[in-house]
Amino acid sequence: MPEMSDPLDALNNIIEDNDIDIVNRCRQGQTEAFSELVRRHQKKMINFAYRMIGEYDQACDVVQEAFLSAYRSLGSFRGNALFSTWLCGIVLNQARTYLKRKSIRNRREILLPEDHFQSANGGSFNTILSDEAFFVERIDRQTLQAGVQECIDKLDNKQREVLVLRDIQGHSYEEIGAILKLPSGTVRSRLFRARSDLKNHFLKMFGKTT
Amino acid sequence: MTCNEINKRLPAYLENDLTPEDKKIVEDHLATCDTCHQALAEFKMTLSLLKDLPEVEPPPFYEQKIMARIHEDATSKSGILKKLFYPFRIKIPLQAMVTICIAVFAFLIYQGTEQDVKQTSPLPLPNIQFEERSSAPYSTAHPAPLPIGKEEPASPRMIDSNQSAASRLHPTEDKELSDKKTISSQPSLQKSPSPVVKSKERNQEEMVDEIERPEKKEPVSIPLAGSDRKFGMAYLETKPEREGKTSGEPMTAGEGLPGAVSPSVSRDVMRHTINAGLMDLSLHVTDIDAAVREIENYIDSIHGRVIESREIIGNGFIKVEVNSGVVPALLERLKQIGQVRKGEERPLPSEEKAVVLIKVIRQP
Repeated sequence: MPEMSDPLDALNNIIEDNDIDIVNRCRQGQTEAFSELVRRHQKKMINFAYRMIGEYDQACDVVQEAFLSAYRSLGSFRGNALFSTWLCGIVLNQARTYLKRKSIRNRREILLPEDHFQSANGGSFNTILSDEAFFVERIDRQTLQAGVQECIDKLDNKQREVLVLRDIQGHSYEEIGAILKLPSGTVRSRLFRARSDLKNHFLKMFGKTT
Repeated sequence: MTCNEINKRLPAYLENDLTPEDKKIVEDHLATCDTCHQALAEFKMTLSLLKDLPEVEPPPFYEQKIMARIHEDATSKSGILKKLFYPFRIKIPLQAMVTICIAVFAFLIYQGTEQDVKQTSPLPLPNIQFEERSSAPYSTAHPAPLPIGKEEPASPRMIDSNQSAASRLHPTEDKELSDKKTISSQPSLQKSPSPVVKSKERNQEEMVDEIERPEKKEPVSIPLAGSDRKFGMAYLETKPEREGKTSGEPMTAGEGLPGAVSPSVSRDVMRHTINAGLMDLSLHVTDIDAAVREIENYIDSIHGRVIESREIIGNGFIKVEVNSGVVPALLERLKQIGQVRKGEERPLPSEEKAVVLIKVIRQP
């Protein structure tokens, strides 16, 4: 994978300058200024929450609560980190809370049977690797993406966090460490295990290569 | 390098995060190891699937929903703040105003009370009257002593000047009360009323009637109303000055000394009482106590009577009553005791008794 962090960091830094100004305006009581922050970060936060939770509507609710919580907590934002990083941490906490409640409710997870893809394509994960174009033709792409999301959901919460933040959101290790309040080495090791576990889930779902 | 070690470096290899040496080692190993090559392919595919996940879009009007929530929250927050602090914003100024009002009322009440307290303050001590007298010489027109409770007419000027205290202090008080107080404050003086004074009572009453109520013939019908009551007090001082009378009558015990009057009135009355003495002497001695004892002994030896003897701020005051005939001998005796200075020269009385006020002063 090519360098993911540097361009995004640069983008974040550019956005951050404007974010700080908007944050200061919000602190001065200009509530409407917060809409600009929502406009800038809503999509990224929704995607992050969606990949964390796996449910679009719930992710939207979580992000909405996160924005509201961020607005209430603007006074505690010191500016030490990027606003997006700070906001991402709030979304993460909201997502964790939701997942904890979900786990408590013991809500039934919608799991696709493991042989769904095998019976669908009649091949294996090796087939996907070797002939992705054929797979795409045979399998609905949305179903594939749903399977990927399902595999992500099967990850441990901690692994899923670093995986989503790094491989989907594209945050740098430093940013992930700031969001999760973890050292960079821990983030790297946790990410390695997450990727390995996700690969195993893919293999289980799409068939082990032979 | 083992396959496990190569697998651990695969993520860094894909992210181009290895040193050139490690990168060459991994590449050499991958070229020879199908297992690790397969693992790399699976890892690439995993990341590729993650990267290919499409981004979801926010639902319609998502921003508006959030901002509506925020506006609602801001409104409720300000409402909560207003609910929390509204009472304070009102209460603090309100309490401050109430406090200021209470303070102002208290001050006003205190001022009024203080004025009343001043008016109802007890009489100054007699010794203070003596002290004041010592600094002010007696006037040549000494008032005639008046019997207890008798009042003389006064000029309108003096009525106005003395209108302040006495009327407010005892507007309804019977003059007997003032007499009682006078007696209680001067018990020794009250025992020997002078027959001369009694003989003058009728004349005093007639004078009051003639001046104050010329159209009435009722004797000594002094009204008890406050405004008129105080006039009686003023008469004691004003009549001699106005009429220039010097009766020369000896002062009787406790005459004209009111029980509770204003300081000015009581001062006048006291002065009148003291001035009732025929002679006013100052005796300068080195030993006041010895001189006072010697004077008292001498008074006893000539069958006189010590009306009053007290010490005020280091000086002695002796008021004696002796026969008029022994007054020259008393003067001679006093000259033997110390240096005598006569305060005033007045003719000797025709009565048998004479009152002499001797001020014994320490001579440095």
